[in-house]
Amino acid sequence: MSYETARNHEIHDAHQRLIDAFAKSYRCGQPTIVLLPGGMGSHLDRSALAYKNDQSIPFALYDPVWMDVEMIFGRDLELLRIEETGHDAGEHIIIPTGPLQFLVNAYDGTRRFFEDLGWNYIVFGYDWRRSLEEAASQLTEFLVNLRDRVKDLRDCDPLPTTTLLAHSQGGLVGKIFLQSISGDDGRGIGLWMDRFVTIGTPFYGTSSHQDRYYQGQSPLNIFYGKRRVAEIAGSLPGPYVLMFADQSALDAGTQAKLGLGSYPITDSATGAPADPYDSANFSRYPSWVNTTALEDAVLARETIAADLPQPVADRVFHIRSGLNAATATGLKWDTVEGASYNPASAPSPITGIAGSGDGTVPFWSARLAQTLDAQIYDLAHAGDHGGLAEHPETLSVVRKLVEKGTLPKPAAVATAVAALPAVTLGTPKASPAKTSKWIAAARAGTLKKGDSRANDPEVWRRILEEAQLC
Amino acid sequence: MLNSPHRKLAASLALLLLAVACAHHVDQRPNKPVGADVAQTLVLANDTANALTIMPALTGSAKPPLIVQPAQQTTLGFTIRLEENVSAGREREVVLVPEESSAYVTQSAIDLLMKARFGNGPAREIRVRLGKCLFGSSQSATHDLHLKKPPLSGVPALQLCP
Repeated sequence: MSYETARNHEIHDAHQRLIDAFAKSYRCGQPTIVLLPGGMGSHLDRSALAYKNDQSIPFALYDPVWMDVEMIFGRDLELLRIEETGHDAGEHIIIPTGPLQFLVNAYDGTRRFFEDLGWNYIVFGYDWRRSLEEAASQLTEFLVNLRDRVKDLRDCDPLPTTTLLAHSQGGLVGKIFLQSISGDDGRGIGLWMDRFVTIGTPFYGTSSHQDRYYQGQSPLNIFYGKRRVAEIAGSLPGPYVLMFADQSALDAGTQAKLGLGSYPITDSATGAPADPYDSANFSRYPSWVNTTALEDAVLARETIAADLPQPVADRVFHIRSGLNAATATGLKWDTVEGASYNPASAPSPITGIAGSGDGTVPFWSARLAQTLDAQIYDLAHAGDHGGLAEHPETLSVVRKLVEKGTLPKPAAVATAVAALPAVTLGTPKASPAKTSKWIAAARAGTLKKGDSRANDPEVWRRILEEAQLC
Repeated sequence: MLNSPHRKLAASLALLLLAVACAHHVDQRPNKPVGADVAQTLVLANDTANALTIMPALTGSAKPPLIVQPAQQTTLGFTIRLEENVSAGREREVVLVPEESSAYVTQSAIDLLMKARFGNGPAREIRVRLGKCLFGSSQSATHDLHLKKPPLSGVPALQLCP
C-alpha cells in the first residue's frame, strides 16, 4: 500500500466518524446545513507514528497539529510542511477531522445559530494545505456516504434539502465540486443539494496571499522567523490558487462583469499587468516557491472560472461585504531577483492598493461572474472576513434564503439582526494591543504553556485569524 | 546509541508522554474486504491532435512516461476492492489495490487519478469516478475513455457509475 492510499483510507475513516455521529441525531423534515470552512478553518490531526507499511494503519493515536498551543509554544508549524513527494513531514499522515477545535472552536456561532433553529448541521473538514480538487473529490464521497448513512438510520434522503454553506476558501472547494457533479446539462443537481451559498469567497483570488511567499506571516514570523514561515508556505501546494487569478481567468469580459477596470496586479515600474502565474514572472519568486504548484493552480483556476450549467447556476448565491475600504483590492509588484531574495533584509516587493472588501477579500472577487446580481447579497453591517460566517446579519440572510428560497430584502434582515447579539455569535477577538502584549510575553518566555493566561480563547481567536497561511 | 531494548523503552515512554500530553485515541476502524477483488480495464483513447504523455503515479517511480499518440489508445488495468468497516455503521469503501494496478493510476478519494500532459502543456489530472456499482455482476469490467480535449481539473472525465 502506498502512502497516498493509506492517507486516503485514514481521511475516509475520519469523515465517516463525523457522519455516523451526525446521522444518529438527524431530524428528517428539517433543513440541513453542510458547512465548508474557510482556509485553516478545518482541524488537522497528525498520526503519532510515521507511516511505514500496510500494518501502520489504522493509526491508534493522532495528535492535533492545527491548532494546538505548540504552534506558539513549540514548533508545530514545521509539522505542517509538505515534502516534494507530496508526503507529510516525517511521513506522519495528516488528516482533517472537522471544524477547528482548540480553545476557540471555529464556527461555533454558526453551529449554535442553526442548531437553535432545530436544523441539521455538519462541517466538512478538508486539508487546506492540499489541492482544492482533492477536497472536492472528498466532498463528493462525504455527501454520498452522508446520504446513505442517514437513509439507513432515518429512512429519509438529506441531500435534496441540503444547503452547502461555504465560507471563504470553502467556496472554491464547493465550486469545483459543483463542476465535477454537474455534467453537461446540470440535470439531477437537485439530488445533490438544494442550494450553494458562499460567504466572502475569493473566486478570483485575494491580495493577501502573494506576500506570504516573501515575508511570511505575522505573528508566526515572531516565533519561526520570516524566512522559515515563507518556506513552509511555499511547501503547501493548495494555497497557490489563492493569489489573484491569472489573466486567462480574469479576461476582459470577466473583468467587465465583475466591475473591475483592469487586471489587478501591475508591475510597479511599468504599470503593465503582472500575472503571478505567468512563467515570465517566475524569476521574481524566492527559491522556495514551487512552480509546479503554480501551474497546477492555473488549472484549478480554469475550473473555478468555468460556467456552470444553468440549472446549477440558478442554485448559487453569494453573500459578500464591501464595508472595509482598506482592503487591498489590487497589487503593485516590484521586479526582484527572487533567487537572492532575503526576507530578513529585503522589503516586500508587494504593495497593496486599497479599495472595498471585507478586509481580506476584495468586493469584486467575492462573486462568480456568471451569477446574476439578484443572487448576490451585499452585507450592510458585517465587514470582517474572519467573522462573516458567524455574524448575525449573514446568518439571518442564510436563514431567510433557506426558508423562502430567495434572498431577503435588506430591511427584513435588519429586523432580524436587531433581535440578535451584535458583531458575532462566536467567540469575540481580543484587542490587537492585548494580543501583542500576550505574544511578547510568550516570546520572552514569561508566559508559559501551562499558564492559565496561555489559554485565553479571545487571544487565540485573534491569533487564529491572523496566523494564516492561506 | 541506545541498545535495542532501551530504545524500545524510550520509545514507549515517549509515546506515553505524548499520549498524556495531547494526543487522543481514535476508534480503530479496520476494514474487512467484502468479496473478491475486481479487476477492471480502462481503455484510454487519445482523440486530440497532440501526443498524450501519462506520468507514473508515484513520485520517484522508475517507470518511464507512457506516450499515446493522436488517434491511438492504451490499456490501463486496475483492481479495486470493496472494504467494510467493522464499526456499527459497516460503511463500505471502494479502494484501489495499487499492487495489482497499473503504475500510472492512483486514487484520490473516490476517483482514479492519472497525471498527463497534452502536447507540451502543463501536467493535468485525469479523474475517473469510481463507485460501488462496479462490484455488481452485471457491470462491464472494460471502460472506454475518449479524450477529445484536456479535462477541467477536478472534474471527472468519466463516471463509472450513474
